[in-house]
Amino acid sequence: MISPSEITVRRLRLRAGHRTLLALDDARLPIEKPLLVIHAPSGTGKSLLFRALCGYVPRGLAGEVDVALGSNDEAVYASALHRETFHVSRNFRYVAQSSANTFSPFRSLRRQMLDVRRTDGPRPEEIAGPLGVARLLADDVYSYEISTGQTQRLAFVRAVCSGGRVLFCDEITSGLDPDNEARMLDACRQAVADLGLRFVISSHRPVEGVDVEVCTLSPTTIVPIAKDAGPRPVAGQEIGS
Amino acid sequence: MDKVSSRLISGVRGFASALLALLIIMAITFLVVALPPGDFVDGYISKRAQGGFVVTKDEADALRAQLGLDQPQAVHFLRWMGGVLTGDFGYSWEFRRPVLDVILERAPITFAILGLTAVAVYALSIAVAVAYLFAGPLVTRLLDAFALTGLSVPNFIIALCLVYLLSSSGWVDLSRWSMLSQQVGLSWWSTFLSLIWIPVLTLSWSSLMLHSRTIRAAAAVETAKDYYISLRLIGVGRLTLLRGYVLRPMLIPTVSTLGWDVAAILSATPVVSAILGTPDLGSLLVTSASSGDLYLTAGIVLVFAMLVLAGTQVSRILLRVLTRGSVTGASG
Repeated sequence: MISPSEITVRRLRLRAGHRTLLALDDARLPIEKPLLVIHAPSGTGKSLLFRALCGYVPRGLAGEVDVALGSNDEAVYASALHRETFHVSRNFRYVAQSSANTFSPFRSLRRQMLDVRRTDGPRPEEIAGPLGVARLLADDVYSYEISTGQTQRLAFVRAVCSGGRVLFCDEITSGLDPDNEARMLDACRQAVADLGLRFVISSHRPVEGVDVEVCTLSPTTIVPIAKDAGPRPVAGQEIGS
Repeated sequence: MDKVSSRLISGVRGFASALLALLIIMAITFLVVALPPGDFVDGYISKRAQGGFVVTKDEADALRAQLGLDQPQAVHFLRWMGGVLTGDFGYSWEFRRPVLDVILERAPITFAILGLTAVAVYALSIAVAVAYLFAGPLVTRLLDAFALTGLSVPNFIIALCLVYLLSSSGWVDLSRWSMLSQQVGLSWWSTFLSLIWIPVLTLSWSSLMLHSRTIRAAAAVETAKDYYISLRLIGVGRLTLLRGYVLRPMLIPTVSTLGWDVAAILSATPVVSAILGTPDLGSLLVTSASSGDLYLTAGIVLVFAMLVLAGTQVSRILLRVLTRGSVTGASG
């Protein structure tokens, strides 16, 4: 499979009543490099963008979205957004910012992994092993028994095992110590090498490496940041990140 | 302390508190039955007078002494409770038969109505809540309107409407309830099935509306959680999500009120039974309480109280099953 080089947001509008939260036209997300980091302050709309691109628009918001993947202009989805929208995407996967509700407390973590695993995809243990959370995939371990950092790592494992070509990871390293953050980014790189995946990661902290592209986001544009320039301030609106 | 001992102590405590609750309920019942002016003998004299017979004051006093009505209510209470412990529920003055016999005669219909009502409430509530999950906005609004209408119409109005509709259309003959006192056979079952849905529909009405709203609210909370959103976006089917993830948390608030449901159904039973003419303990309670038949009233109240306590216990067991594996179940 040829790795796509970019995601094109042809048009994205997200409104809460009359207030526009995000308005992007022909914005380009470069994913030639394995990791694309969206580095922007809180309230800029990173989570909203990730969710909308992956097919989810929460209740109370409306608008429209038209997204394409790759140079062959492969449409991901185009939809008017009303009420609560769920668009199941073949290509995009979303890893939510860690919370107590990332996994259900009523089903063992193993069962929850098996529910999403594609038969042609990797085994959860293969991905979980290097991240140090393979033992949590025993039959009788539940989400309330694990820490925030472990939840983040397992959410990442679940997304990788569920297929898709681009993973949008929302602050997936925010609850991790520096060692585990490095392991998580290594796992991303490994998934790129083994499975041909691409990662778009939102982060408040700088992420460095030759294989990392860094962009910043404002409610109206996505701009690449030069390596030596550091993140530049953007005029964000008061919206939830 | 090991798990078995802990459960045993918890069970003993539960039994003791249930016993205390029963004692309080029965004491209140004896007090309430004695509150209205006049007693059973006054009612008896009045009935005899309607038939043209005159009961003298001496005869009335003799009857009062025979029935023990000249003694304080506390004596009746203690004597009756003592009898209950040995399986003697006393004697019905109205029916002139042992209370237990009168109760057992009507218990099967009562239990059938109660059980079928509970099953109907839960099964239909789940169905309505699932419809909410899968339906579009139009169906959702229709269900909302239906639920709000249902909540604002009391059970007895539904009963009156059904009586009017069924008697004017001639679909069902409500006087056939008396056939259920005959021996069980094909004709009995045919009558039972043709009539039983009427009290079940009436009694389940408002509970159904209430629970479908509660289940829907619980489902709305659950489906807004990150795991649900993530799994939906990955393409996990809504049926799988319902079965494996949403159903259990969605049912917990409703199942936890099973004891209250039994109490609500039993509270509505006397009025509904009186309207529909159902030969169950509800209508019998109205008759016995209004005639001052002390022991029969107490016996029926005791049966109702035990049913409520049984409902609470079933609720606890179901909650244990539903929360098994979750943090709530682990701690409780």
